[in-house]
Amino acid sequence: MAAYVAGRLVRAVPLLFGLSILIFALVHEAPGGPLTVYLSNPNVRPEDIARLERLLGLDRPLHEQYLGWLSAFATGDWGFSYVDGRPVLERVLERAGGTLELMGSAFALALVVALVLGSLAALRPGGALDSLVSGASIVGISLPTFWLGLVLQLVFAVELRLLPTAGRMGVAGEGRLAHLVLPAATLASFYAASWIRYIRASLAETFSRDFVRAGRARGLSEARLLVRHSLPNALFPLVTVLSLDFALLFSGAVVTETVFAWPGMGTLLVDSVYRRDYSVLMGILMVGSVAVVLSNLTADVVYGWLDPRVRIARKEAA
Amino acid sequence: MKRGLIALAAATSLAALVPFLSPYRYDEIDLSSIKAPPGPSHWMGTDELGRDFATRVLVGARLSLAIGLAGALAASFLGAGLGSVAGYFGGFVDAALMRLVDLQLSIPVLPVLIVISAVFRPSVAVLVLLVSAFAWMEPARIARGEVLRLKELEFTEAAKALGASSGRVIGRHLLPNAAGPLIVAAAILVGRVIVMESVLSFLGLGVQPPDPSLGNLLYGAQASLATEPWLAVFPGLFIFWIVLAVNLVGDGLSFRGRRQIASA
Repeated sequence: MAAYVAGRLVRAVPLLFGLSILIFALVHEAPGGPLTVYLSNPNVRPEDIARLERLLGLDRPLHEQYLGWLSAFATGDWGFSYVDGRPVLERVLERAGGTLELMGSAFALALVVALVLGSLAALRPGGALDSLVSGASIVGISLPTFWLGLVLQLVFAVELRLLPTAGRMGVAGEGRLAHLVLPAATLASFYAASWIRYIRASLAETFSRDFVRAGRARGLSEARLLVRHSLPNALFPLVTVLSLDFALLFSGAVVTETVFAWPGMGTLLVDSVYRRDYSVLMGILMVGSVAVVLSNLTADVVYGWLDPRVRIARKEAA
Repeated sequence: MKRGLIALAAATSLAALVPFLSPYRYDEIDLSSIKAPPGPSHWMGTDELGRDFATRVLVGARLSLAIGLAGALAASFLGAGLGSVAGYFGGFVDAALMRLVDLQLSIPVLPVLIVISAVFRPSVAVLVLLVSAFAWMEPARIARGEVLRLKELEFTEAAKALGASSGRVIGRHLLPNAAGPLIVAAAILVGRVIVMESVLSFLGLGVQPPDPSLGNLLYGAQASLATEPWLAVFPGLFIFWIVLAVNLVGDGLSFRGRRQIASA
């Protein structure tokens, strides 16, 4: 297993190199370049800009700049924000917690809702509950996340005054859960709705397999058949879906954070875009890409751990 | 499927016929009825300049629908082309393409699109191409899979034996036979592209005012959520309507596809 994981990690390295080159070129070939933020500032003289360019190495050829950036990046020196001069790593890390909290709770919420509703729908394919859940899921995947967020704000914060409109916590750090409810529900809706469809289809197929019928003939309870026998088998395909959806979930978090003024990497990204803070943008895009690559890798490992057939095939291949 | 088509046709014709349906122009300022709530003379109310919001939503829907269709078509052609070539020739071309698909699937699409559109300020046409450059992977996979299956069948062999070039075999024989699943994927893509464009416009980065799009109508709406909620409700409702219709059609098509395969 260790050899397999190591092999996959090595294979992920060129992928990350490719991504970093793409992102680096994108940011540095932008009109105005990384120093755009100073160009429109009347207090910054042209000779200051020239000096800054020399200082930051922006006058050197692009590939040299990239190599310099790469070695610094690898040692944790991500440069400084052009906006407030603080280290990029520090600025990104202080926002990472907010994004992780939002994504984690949305992920858990979506998974629980999808498991419960998907199982209920699969119990009687074609039944009333099944049609209801299928209808709800197609509505769920069609709701644009950012608009759902606005509507939830309107209903629960503006009209009913039940929950706070925006932010992550009160001034004194209170009300964290109340602040989390609407953003997490907003972000979770699409994934809950789309995972329901996978779980329902996969479970319905598993229910018709012989080992389930054999279990039923042995007198096992329906609950035990569902939880112990069918769900583990039905969940294999979901692992891949979940990991591929991680990249989407990150994108969704950016939108949700913007709607709810949630202090995370998404709001930092949008702020940095408006202020042309290129070094912070680089940092966030890299963190996002690494996270996506790692989540895909995790899914592969979990997949093997869940399914002995894959595990053995890998051992033989290794 | 039928419901989806009806809903889509209704949305499209409303959007296409808006100049004949509405007594207002979308950029007609009326300072005597600023921020009017929905009522008999303005069905969706008016905005901060007294412009009729229903007209603006429908004109915005027209732009969003056009962007969605164009983006889905561009992504489908790009994906079908690359995927079928990869599947047909195999070997190095195939491996390179699948790596590229892996690479693109590892990019957090929305953050990258946000950065690109903020930095380069693309026109609407370029925006469509940009979005499709991040959406071609699914059609490419489908086309590759179908070509891998079809290229072993007799009719491909027959075409080759008659001296057809590789391009002709792919374009005239393989791709038309792969059209079913590709059309389903394209239908779903229309909805995805519309949502993508509206998110970018919602952040103030996509379609720029004074041109209304469903996304940029929502851009200003958040600030006045408490006082003029209709400005936030109607454009999003329209996005929802269109995407739901497209998804219903896509679901119906893929169900038909499955049944055809099952009955064959």
